[in-house]
Amino acid sequence: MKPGKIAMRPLRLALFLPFLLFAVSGSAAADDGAGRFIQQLAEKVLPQLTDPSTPLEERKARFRAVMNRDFDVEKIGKLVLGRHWRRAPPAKREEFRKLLEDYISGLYARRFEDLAGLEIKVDGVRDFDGWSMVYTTATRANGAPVLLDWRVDSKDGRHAITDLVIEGVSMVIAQREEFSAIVLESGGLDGLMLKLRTRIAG
Amino acid sequence: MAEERPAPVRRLRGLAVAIFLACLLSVAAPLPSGAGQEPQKVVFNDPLEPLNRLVFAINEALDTVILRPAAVIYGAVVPGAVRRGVRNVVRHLSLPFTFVNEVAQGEWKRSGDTAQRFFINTMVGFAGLYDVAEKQGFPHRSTDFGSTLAAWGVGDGPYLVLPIAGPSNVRDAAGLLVQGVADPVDVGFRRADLDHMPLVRAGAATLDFRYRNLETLDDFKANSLDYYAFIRTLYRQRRAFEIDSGTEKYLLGGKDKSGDDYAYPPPRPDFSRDRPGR
Repeated sequence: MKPGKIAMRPLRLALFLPFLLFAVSGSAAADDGAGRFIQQLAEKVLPQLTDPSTPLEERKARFRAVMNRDFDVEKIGKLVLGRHWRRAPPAKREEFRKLLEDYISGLYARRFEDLAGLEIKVDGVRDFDGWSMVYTTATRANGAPVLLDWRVDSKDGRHAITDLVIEGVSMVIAQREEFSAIVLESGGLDGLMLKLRTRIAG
Repeated sequence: MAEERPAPVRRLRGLAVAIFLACLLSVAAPLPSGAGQEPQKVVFNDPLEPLNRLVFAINEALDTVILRPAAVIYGAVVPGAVRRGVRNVVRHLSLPFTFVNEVAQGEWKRSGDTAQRFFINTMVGFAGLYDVAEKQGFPHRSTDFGSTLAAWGVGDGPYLVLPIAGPSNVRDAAGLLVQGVADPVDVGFRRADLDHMPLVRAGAATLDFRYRNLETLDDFKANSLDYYAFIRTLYRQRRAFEIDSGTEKYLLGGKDKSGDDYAYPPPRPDFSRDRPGR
């Protein structure tokens, strides 16, 4: 068989990844279900983050506030680090949580403009032990629909987003595998944190 | 199973050999979803990681020097209408093999849609240059022989980075091998003594893919902390989603409220019947 016959396999999802964690935010009344929570997020919070007439710095600050309120960054840290989280002392966990928050908000803040006019429709909800998967379809005026699924953890009647699955790709698993590779390579959590710190500063 | 096999596929012996090879390899390979595995354990099945990283680096270098610049020039020089035509033709030519795979997977409805799409775009769309069928309710779909092997119960096996072709695994690499031998359009080209056409076709498909993903791949490369690991997880998750096997246990799996096992992320329920137009 000749070389070159093998076409690169289209990673179509790639096109959608930039949308990612942008929208991981939200606000909702505590008595609502997870689906309602995501619906409200899409209708009320997302437009505030994507409105092109608001200055970028202001939008970044809003995103940060939303992340603090409606994202469980600590839980994300736990899911992403796995056993490395369990082994880390509390002070180190807190340090990592802060880094992760900086990293995520820095990564996605600049992509807000791409998201203006995004419409999110809830297709259905599946409940698990302490968390739910909210299945949505995101549509933009000039693009194909994107399957966007949200993991929403519920605690004491409050909802918080802990993962986003874009066209079948879980951000938590993606970061978990990426971070694990770095932890293995650099011989520990400190190596990963150093790398994150460098990235945030640069 | 394959009673609807269309005439162009006659190289059954090559096919059988490749399937046998694939099965053998996947049996020999450790399965990613061992029973009783600690659910929190990270399971990237990549025993050849050092070699894979080396091939990945070489691919990256080739991409930086040849493919990416070519894609940039392609986008800057070739008019949009021509690029759309290239894309339409590339996708059109993939349909016969897609059809074969859908039949082999027992996806009767899909294979019928694929056949109709191919017919419409061949007749009305000037041999695939225009995508008329999409508006008629036959959007483009693709599948491959790796997916067919998965439908037959073949596990994915260890992750592989192939020279030039990029991310893959043992099963999907076997699928590519079969495609190289059995793709009906390429078989037709060779029969007609157009031996260079399969290569031209693959080149066009690669250029089209690379062009459409210019910004995305730049973004991934710039923003990932470990590009190799990022592409690896992307490939594996994406394939599991496309194949919709639902059997591959991911980390973070566990039990749902009714006590059933689930993989993470949990397979997406099919909402399509509630959704007009899909």
